[in-house]
Amino acid sequence: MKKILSFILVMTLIFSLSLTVNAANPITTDGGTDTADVTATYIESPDIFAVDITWGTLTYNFVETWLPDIRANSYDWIATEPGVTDKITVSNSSNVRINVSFAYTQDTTTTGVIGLPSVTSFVLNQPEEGGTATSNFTFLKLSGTPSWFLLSHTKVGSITVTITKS
Amino acid sequence: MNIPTNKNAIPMYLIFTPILLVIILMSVFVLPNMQHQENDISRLDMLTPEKAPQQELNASRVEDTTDTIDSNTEGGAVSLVYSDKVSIDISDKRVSLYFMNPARSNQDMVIQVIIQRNENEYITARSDLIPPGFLLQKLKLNSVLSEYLQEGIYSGIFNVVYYDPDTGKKASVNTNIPIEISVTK
Repeated sequence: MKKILSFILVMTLIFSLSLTVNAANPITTDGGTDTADVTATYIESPDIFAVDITWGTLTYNFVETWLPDIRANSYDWIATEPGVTDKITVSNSSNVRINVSFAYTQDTTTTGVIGLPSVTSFVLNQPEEGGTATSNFTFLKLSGTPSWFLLSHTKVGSITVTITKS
Repeated sequence: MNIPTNKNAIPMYLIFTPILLVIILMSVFVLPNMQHQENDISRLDMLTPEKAPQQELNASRVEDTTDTIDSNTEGGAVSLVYSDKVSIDISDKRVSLYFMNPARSNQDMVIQVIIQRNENEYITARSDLIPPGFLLQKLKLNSVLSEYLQEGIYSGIFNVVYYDPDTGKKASVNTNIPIEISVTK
């Protein structure tokens, strides 16, 4: 029995050794050489989105003005600091081109106020390697008559910025 | 031989019938309502609160030394770094994602992971507060939805809501990001 086991063990060792020998390309002469291929595979970066969004305070005054000529009030929406507080800027540092769109939603309590972005959507290209982020902006303008006039820092709506791979 | 009997003893059916009735009524009315309430709570948990919630326990701090975003106004400035691929493991009740609020942001964030299907939206997960400098890679799957969700690839969105770190007030700006959600068992 021991002899059989020893035989199997020896044969197993020989078999495994022979595999190793077959896999190599032996150097049989003094000063001989051998070569092996070095292979490489390009692994592309997955889409990495890196987007900055900045916005002003988005605060507005609903201004009433008495017009004596027509003996009536006119109403106007004015940003507290036009060109600054109503500005929304988006910058793209992603490795993909993105589309940016803006959608205003009225508040459910104080209704009647309409929000209109000066630009409703734009495309931001992928920035050049080592370059600066690509960016663009919009201004949110308000119009309409609110359901409730006595506004005091009252929320009238919200804006959704949607970022899509372009 | 006569066996003595207690003529004053209450018959057994008079004891067990009311108990049985109470059990039946509870199973019909009370228990389903309890389950319903639990589901309602789960649904409410998935919405974004008006005030900042507690900090997300699954978010981890990341090394980030970049400058804060150059913002000339007192409004918000956020940076979003994310992958638009999300996976859901139903058996683990886990949502795997990559979403970072870099340290350069000046707003805290809450994120919802939403499946869009047949013009309906299903909130699969909602985070608690992710402060600037934190990375989120996993969320617990909405327990209500986990019972109905099927394997497959779905379209969806991240809905990102911002909160002022000082006041906890929700910002007037939010962000929607289309994503691809793969669901496995």
